[in-house]
Amino acid sequence: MTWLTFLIVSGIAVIFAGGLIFSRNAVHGAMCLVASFCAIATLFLLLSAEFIFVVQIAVYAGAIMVLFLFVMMLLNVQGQEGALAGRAPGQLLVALALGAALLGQAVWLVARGGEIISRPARIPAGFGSPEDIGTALFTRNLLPFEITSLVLLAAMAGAVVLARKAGLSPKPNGAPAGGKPE
Amino acid sequence: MTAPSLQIITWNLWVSAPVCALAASAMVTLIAGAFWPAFARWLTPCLALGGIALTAAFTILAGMLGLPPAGMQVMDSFTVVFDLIILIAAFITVLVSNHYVTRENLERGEYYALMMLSASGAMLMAASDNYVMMFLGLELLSIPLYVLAGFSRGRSESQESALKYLLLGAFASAFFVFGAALVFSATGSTNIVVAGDATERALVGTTPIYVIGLAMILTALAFKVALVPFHMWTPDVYQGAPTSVTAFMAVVAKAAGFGALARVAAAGPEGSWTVLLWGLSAATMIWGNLLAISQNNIKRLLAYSSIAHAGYLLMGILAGGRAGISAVLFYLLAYAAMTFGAFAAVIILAGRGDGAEDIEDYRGIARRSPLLGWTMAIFMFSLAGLPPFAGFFGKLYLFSAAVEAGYPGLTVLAVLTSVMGVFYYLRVTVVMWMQEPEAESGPAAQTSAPLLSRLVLSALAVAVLALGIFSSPVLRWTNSGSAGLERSAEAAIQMTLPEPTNAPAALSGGSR
Amino acid sequence: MNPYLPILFMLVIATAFALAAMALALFVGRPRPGPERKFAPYECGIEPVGSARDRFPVKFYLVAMLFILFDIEVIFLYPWAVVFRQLGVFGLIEMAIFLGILLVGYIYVWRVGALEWQ
Repeated sequence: MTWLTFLIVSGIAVIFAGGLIFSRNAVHGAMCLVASFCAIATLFLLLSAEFIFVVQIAVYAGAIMVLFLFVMMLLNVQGQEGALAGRAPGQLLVALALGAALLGQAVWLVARGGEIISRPARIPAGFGSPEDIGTALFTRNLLPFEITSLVLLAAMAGAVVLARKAGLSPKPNGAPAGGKPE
Repeated sequence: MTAPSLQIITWNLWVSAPVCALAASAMVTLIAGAFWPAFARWLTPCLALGGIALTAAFTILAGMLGLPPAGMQVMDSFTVVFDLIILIAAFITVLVSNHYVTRENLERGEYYALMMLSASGAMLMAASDNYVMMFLGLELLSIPLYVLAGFSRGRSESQESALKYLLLGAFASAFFVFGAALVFSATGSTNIVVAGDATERALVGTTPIYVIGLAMILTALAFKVALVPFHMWTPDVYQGAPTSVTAFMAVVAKAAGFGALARVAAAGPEGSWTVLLWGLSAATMIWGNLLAISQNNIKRLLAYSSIAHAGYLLMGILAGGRAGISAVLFYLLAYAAMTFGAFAAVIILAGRGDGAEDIEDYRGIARRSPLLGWTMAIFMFSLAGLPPFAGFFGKLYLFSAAVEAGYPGLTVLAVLTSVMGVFYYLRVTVVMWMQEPEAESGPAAQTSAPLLSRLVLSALAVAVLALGIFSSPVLRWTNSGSAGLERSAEAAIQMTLPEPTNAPAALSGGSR
Repeated sequence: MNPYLPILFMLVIATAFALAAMALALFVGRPRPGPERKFAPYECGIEPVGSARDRFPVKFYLVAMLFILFDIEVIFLYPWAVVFRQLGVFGLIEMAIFLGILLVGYIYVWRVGALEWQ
């Protein structure tokens, strides 16, 4: 049952990831990405990582996709969709070679899976459950948790700096030349 | 459950007191800049300077307490030395920035707050003994830097710089996370030293995964410090970013990366690690110096110079041990002084809008402003590694550590590339001193600077000279730092706090 | 897999309901209006002028960015809530510090006027 679900869900994830790459319309690509994110979230569920499932849905499929769509509307790439799909010479060859290398790596790992993957070192049974993450996050990883808020704070200030029009002390006479429209 | 966690926090409070102090000062600066924008011009730099000084006091105090590792962060003498280097660098950045920010009209309360947040990230990276912590330090260092690189929003070069740095930096961060995840899956621990302990891995047979993970982490850090295959972003980002930010980036981000590398290297990684470091170091020295020769823009020249210096610094990491790490710390201090000096001079020389950045624009500057001429000459001689300046002794310690550790070939290469470096550093000095000045109205006429900038410039020149002449007491100090690094690596092995301590059951039950 | 069976049922029923409603409309509903009436503005609407796919102002981006940041903040409350009883007062203090730092960010964002739609 789990195996079947895995096959179906990962198939959906791969198909929509392909749709993301091959769709010419950026918004269609974003929608494919949402579907792919949801499928990947289900894969997390299969690993009984419920918290990451929620994060994947709420943050990635939700918030980050909203940002993606806003950025698309901001840039309005509509007119240059053909240009976006342009290729550098030899890009296909390099991509194929790198993809083959990655595939070889994956095959090697799966072939040696008996030795490597099936024996995760010291991973206890309830690993990844919300309780486990909660205990880990608020006892041993307390410091990283608090630092996360600092990272968020820095991102907040950064977003405001980059997206707000004027500085805090508006000096219209001394604005640097060549200012770009917002 | 409550009792052990409470114990953890009583450690953490002191171990992370310096970072907390700096972050809190950053928040105060941010809020102050938002609430009193009219006073932001002098209020935020003053708050920043005060916060950095306070943090330095906390660092020294916490270092004297001799704290045990807290499981995430270590407050050993390595951290103390490193934090102080970063704090000094941040302090100088604030002083150097003041003039520049006013001139370029970048006065916003966020500037200094972001810089302080970035510095606290750098401190975290050097102080972390855990990949989770190190990653968060990396992000806290990088995110404000992405924004700061694009801070002068009127210039498209600055925007380009920010975008390039963001895209490649995010890529590097992804490498770090992936690598850390692989290391965790191979060893069951995110503690750097515990994960580096080979016995457990050999038992389970996950060494290949561990090596791949470590290589990915090395890639991310190599990007941060601009080692050669991962250096492409450096010239463009350095050129486009506001010059004061470039100086900060060149010193603090690089120092943080080397701090993290030293932590990882102290855990005693595999044999392939040394091969990788050898290759990276050699490639970085050769390529950085070669490309620096053909640069005409002073910021690009300094960018390639910083790449070349990363190659020398990596030699110290490769050599390892007490002498190697101590040499790295000393060199970072010397590098900070001379790089800041060079960038401070560039800030004064470039008119508004980063006008005069070509080396040709510096023709005859020394005749008009002897202070600029002399100080720039000192910084260039020191960067080239000529005696009796700090750069010479820094290279001397690095090279001797490398020879002692058994890398004579690499050392010969380093000496040869240093000779290459002399050419382009001296070229700047020759242009400034020997060539006829341009017409009075040219961009080079801009040599007047406020008193503070002149004082900082002179102080940095004196520091470069003093670090060279009185190098042995400084070296004793950095020696204590490298000894601390060794001690905490040993202590971590003995403590061996396994990562999932909360669930002692089912330790061996792997497959589900 | 058992605890997720209701979710599967819900998905199946939701899909079936949507399909059934559409099928019902197809059979029971009136014949569809032609395209000219479909694209016309409804009663008091204004005739459309130009494409709706215009460049959006950067303000949207700022709002989306701040939304993401506070969304991530909220995500951390889930595992905290699960183990809140075990953590006790200690956990409360932890979360207070975390939220306090973000509150500083919120006050900053508010004060700077990034939440205003000018």
